[in-house]
Amino acid sequence: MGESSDGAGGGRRFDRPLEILTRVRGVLGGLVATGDGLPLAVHMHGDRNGEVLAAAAAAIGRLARRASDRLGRGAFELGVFDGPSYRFLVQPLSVGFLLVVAEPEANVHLISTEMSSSAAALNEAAVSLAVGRAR
Amino acid sequence: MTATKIGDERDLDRQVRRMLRREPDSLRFAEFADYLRRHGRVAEARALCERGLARHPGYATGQVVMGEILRDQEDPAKAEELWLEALRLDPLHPRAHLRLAELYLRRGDVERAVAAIEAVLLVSPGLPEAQALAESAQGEVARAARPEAPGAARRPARPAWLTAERFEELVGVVESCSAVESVALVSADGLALAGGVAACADPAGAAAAVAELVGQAGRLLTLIGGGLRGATICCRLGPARCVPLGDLTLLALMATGAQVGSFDVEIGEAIARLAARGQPERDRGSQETEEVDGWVNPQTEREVGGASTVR
Repeated sequence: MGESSDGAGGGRRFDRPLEILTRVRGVLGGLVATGDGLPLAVHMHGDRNGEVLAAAAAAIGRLARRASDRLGRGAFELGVFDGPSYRFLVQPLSVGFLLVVAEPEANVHLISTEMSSSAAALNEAAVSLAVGRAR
Repeated sequence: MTATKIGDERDLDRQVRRMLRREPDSLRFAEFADYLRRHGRVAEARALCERGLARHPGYATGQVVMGEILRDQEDPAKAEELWLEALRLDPLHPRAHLRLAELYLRRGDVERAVAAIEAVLLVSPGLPEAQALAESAQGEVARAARPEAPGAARRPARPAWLTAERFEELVGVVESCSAVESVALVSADGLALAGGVAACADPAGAAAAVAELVGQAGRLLTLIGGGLRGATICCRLGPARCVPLGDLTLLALMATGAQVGSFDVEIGEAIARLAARGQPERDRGSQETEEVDGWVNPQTEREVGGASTVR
């Protein structure tokens, strides 16, 4: 395992769902980014740059959300971007976006199912973090 | 802290000495070296930056500042090396792209300058320095008699088989795939050139947003490494598949419940078959290969012969 860190505000609460997600076969790493691209929590194999990927996740996520709005087919749920070296999956969260970097041949269906579970846990963690801060 | 808040030079010297004493491993060496450089104390800046980079060779901003110092010392070739190294460490580092853009403009290498400016504007669209450079580059571009404006997307080449006469055929082929509801072939400006997505409340807006997504995501993923071969946007009422074809994007709206990992494969294979039909007779055997006329089928290259283990 390479980089594993919690950015400011993420705390340990985001770490566990990300860790579970990165155990899925073909997943090279995952991170939680704010809507403007700051990494809140990063769990990456190898030496991938979490800050760069967080910025990319937010930029792509915002564009995908806008495209989704214009398509008029309901809320944006997941974006899958296929490249020759990686497959990027971006899912909206209450705090921003969840990004998974996977191998190009990774099983999208399996990863997206795991991402939904992780997203639910991450959203819950974000709520409890916000409630904790409000007290 | 920013350099402008540091105060007078005596104060700065005190801060640098204190920082080096208390935090010899601090990444702030780059900030102080930058301040020294901008106040003409280039030799001191270089010494400080060299010491910092010896400890933190993987710090992209440190590499950028060192490159600026070397540029000021009239060593642009070495500066370029460092800025490229910074981009290897952090492909989205706006200041590294910016410095390279300036360097390429000065060299008269308009094409690379425009690419670097595009990268800056993509990563930091609000950066005033980038806007100013884009305006300055516009003059260079005009002088070079190039039609495209800097900052505007440079459009990738369309596959040769995809001639205007085949737009409708392509749309028809994809429409015949299972679970496809409607198909449009969209230009980089968001104009539907064939087919249509009339089911959308705002077909023109949808086409433009999808073209922008595919263009921007393609450039962003190219910066990170690789590029974009296809994208699926999953919405609550059904997914949409987007396939970049050079400067065009094929947009297919899928039925609710269509499975990612299934329809994208089918669409990819349908396009590959059509592309192969566009080849001269002697090349038709390439239908079974992964690349047809410069277009790589994002799905078949890994799905054919491996689908059972892949998805």
